[in-house]
Amino acid sequence: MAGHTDDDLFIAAPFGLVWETVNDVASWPELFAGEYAEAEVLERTADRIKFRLTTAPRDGATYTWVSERYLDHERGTVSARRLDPGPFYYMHIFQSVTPAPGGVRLRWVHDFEVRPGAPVTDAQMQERIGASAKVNMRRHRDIIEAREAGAAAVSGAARPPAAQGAHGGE
Amino acid sequence: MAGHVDIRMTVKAPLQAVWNAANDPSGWAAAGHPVQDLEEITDGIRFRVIAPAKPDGGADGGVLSFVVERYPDEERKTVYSRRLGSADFRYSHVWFAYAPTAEGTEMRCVVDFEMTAEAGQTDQCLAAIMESQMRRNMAATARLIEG
Repeated sequence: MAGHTDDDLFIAAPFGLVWETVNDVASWPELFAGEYAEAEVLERTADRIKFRLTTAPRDGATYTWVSERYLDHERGTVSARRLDPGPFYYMHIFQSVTPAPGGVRLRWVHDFEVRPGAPVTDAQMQERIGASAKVNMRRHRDIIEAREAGAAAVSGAARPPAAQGAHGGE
Repeated sequence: MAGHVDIRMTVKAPLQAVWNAANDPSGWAAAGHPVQDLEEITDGIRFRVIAPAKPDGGADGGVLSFVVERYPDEERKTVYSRRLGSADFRYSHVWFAYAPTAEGTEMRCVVDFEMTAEAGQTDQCLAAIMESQMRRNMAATARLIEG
């Protein structure tokens, strides 16, 4: 039985900021909650990024693999996969950033199968990926909303009070 | 609810022969899977598929048209392909794997996808159509290889 996770979260920030942040692969060690020690971009074109991820040490071990993501900026969607599948037969990821009132919805969908003989089953991996997606999406939200608040504070300083109030959601 | 299709079929031929045939676009039309506008891209190929939107392929059922990027991994004998720029698919990942068995080679195809709200089909409905079309295509590919 294949594994499937589907998580989404509201972020109170404009599409452009969210899209740029989530696709800034080099910043993932900060954007994720202690997941990655290093993210190295190997190739980048307008719509495709190939990159190497190295995990933070877990029980003394680190893991590294190459992934690629295809970006459809117009639709706000990303199709991604691991090129070195490691313990998986395949790992396919869909992400979307969809405008919603007052911000966007960020969504992550994982489809995968672990190989026989891997230390965990599909069900266990599904639980692990689902739990980590929730934690990491919240961290994305907190970082992006803090950046948006900072940007609003800077631009708000030059605005009349009424506009500040509207921007601050009072 | 997302769509998920998982099909396996055994071909009575060795792995390398099946791999070569499955990855030779010039033979796809004969296997019932014609493609258009084929071009080479980094690590793979890109082409357009126009497929019937109904299981019987009838003219009244309309068609789905989409661009496919296909990336073979010769060493692992797997292929990843994705559908792009379709108004019907929110996303679509397709994974093919070829593995030797006692009888020959097992071909496997796993599709994970979601239709958009604008598409005329539900995920479950298209999964059923896809399953029957892909079984037909795989059987045609198997017959061609087995000669």
